[in-house]
Amino acid sequence: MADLAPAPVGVPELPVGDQLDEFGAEAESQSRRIVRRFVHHRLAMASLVVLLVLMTASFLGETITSYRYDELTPDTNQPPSSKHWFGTDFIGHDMFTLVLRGARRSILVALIVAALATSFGATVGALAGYYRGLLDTVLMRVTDLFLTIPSLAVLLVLASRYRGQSGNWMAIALVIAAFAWMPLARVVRGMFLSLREREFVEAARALGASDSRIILRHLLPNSLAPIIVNATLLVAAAILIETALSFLGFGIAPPDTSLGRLVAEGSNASYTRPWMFYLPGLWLMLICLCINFVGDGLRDAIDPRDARVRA
Amino acid sequence: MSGEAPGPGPSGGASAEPVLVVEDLTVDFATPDGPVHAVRGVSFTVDAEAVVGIVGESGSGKSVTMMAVMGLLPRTATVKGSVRFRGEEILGLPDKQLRRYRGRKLAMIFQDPLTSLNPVFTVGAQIAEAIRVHNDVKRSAAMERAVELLDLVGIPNAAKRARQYPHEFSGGMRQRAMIAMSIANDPDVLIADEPTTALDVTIQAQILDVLERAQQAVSSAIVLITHDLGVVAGVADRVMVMYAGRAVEQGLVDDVFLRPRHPYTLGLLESLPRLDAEGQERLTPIVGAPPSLLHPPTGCPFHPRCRFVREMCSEVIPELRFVGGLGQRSACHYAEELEALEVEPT
Repeated sequence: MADLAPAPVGVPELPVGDQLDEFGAEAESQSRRIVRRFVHHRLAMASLVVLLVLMTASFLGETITSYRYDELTPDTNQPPSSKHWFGTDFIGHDMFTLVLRGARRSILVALIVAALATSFGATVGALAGYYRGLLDTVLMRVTDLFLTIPSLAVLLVLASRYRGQSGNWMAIALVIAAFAWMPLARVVRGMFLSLREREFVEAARALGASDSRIILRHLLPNSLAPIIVNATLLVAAAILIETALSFLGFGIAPPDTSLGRLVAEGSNASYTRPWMFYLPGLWLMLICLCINFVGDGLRDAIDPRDARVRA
Repeated sequence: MSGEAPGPGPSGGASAEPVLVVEDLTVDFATPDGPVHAVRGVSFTVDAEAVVGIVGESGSGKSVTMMAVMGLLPRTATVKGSVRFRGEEILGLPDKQLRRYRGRKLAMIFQDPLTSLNPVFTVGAQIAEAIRVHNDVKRSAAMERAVELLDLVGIPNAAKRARQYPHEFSGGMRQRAMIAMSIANDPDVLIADEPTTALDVTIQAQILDVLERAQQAVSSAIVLITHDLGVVAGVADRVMVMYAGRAVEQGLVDDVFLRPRHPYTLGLLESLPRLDAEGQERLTPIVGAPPSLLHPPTGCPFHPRCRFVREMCSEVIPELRFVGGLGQRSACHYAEELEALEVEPT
């Protein structure tokens, strides 16, 4: 193949940093453009900063509160103060320490749910959309079936098997993920149905690319935007579902705790000791709100519809 | 070893052994209104390093013919006949085996370079990817080769260009990149499906140049699908004129264009504007519209639009038969009578 080497083309190398394309506009890669558009999205950036602070605090946990989660302080039923930022509960636990610990577990469960549901949903959608035919019909009817099931009721039944078992958070995550993959499967299927007809897919096939290569190297990267956005929003949704389960007593079991458990425990005292109910709830809302704003910002940044100045 | 060629006519290329032999290819599409006969018994031979032009208007079956050769038609298509690559039958092979031919033996360049490149990868990465489909090489080595290929097709500053995305390329540049990608695996046959149609007229000549340069670099044959007779006249050795899914005339370019033996070819040539025409001659259009492939006319498919039409034309389907010398073939009952007509060179 050495004989392929052409005569050198007499075009001087442009200095780096002066990369002008034929329209005189600065050449910009796709990822850089997405980052730039995201950074300029004020609400999303602010949410991202708040979210990072909340998550860092949650994962640092006891190292920043100077109390251990099982430490019984002499102060019981204290409202928020400089000593106990979120007050204490009726046996003297520092609420801030508990909230951070609960948030850590909630976030971890949500991340696992998002990872499982996204990969499973994307796989189902990709197979259905790419192969169509019988496989599509079967997969989509199963998806429809899962969508028609009243998920909370089934979640409760499934979760009840792990009720009260300590260290059941993995199982809870699995159960939630089992009912969270369907919307993404439909989105990805739709993307694949339209993408597979595009000419670059035919071009790839004409080059001898296999099905798996076309799916992984051509179709999936082109569907990444909705998948990422969906996964982000799923984290927030999973936190809320886990909260609902824990609130109803079917979720995370002690000695673990989660935001849902804290809210549930505080709900009995919402009139007499409101900080026990409202502060974990606020922390939870703040996390979910920030995730949703970040997701929206991502969607706006990735959306190719107004990103394409010229095509 | 190459099997029997459908026509013993002289080859237009350097080597006598054909790389691609298509025999009696038929393609039907099942539609709710009944089968559409897109290609009806097309045969042709592509010699090594030769350039074969396939011309015809939209819907004449030229693209479908080549898609059938590549095995890229949707499942609704029924393909019959024979396609042999270097003597091996490849029609009807399972997809897995066909993949070894695609890209490495038979490569394709598509009409629209705008949509034929994946928008989310850099151009260099896509060419490297094409190399890695068939060769077990490292990403970096494939990338180096991609830059070489971009350089070969005349993209200035190839190393920098390879790191750019398709939307940063102009139309002509993208088609060059597509050509680079198509020759990445040293194919024996390059199928170019209207490679210049989507491009600016000023770019067309450049792209044809690049195509020829690419062909010489990898010593492949080219099957050039186009509706532009000028392109065929300038580039091709042999030409096949298609109408309503049939080959109506085949032969060496010079023979077919100078002494057309089919009224359709004649009509096509007469409808071309001529720079050397004296005074203001009006162009002669072919009257009527292409026939429906769902309900093709009886007899010769061209007879409703033919100015030489006679009674027999609407009854008997004319066979593609040898007329004149040098392997020129025509599917007209009265091909010999057209011999008297001389057409000036285009």
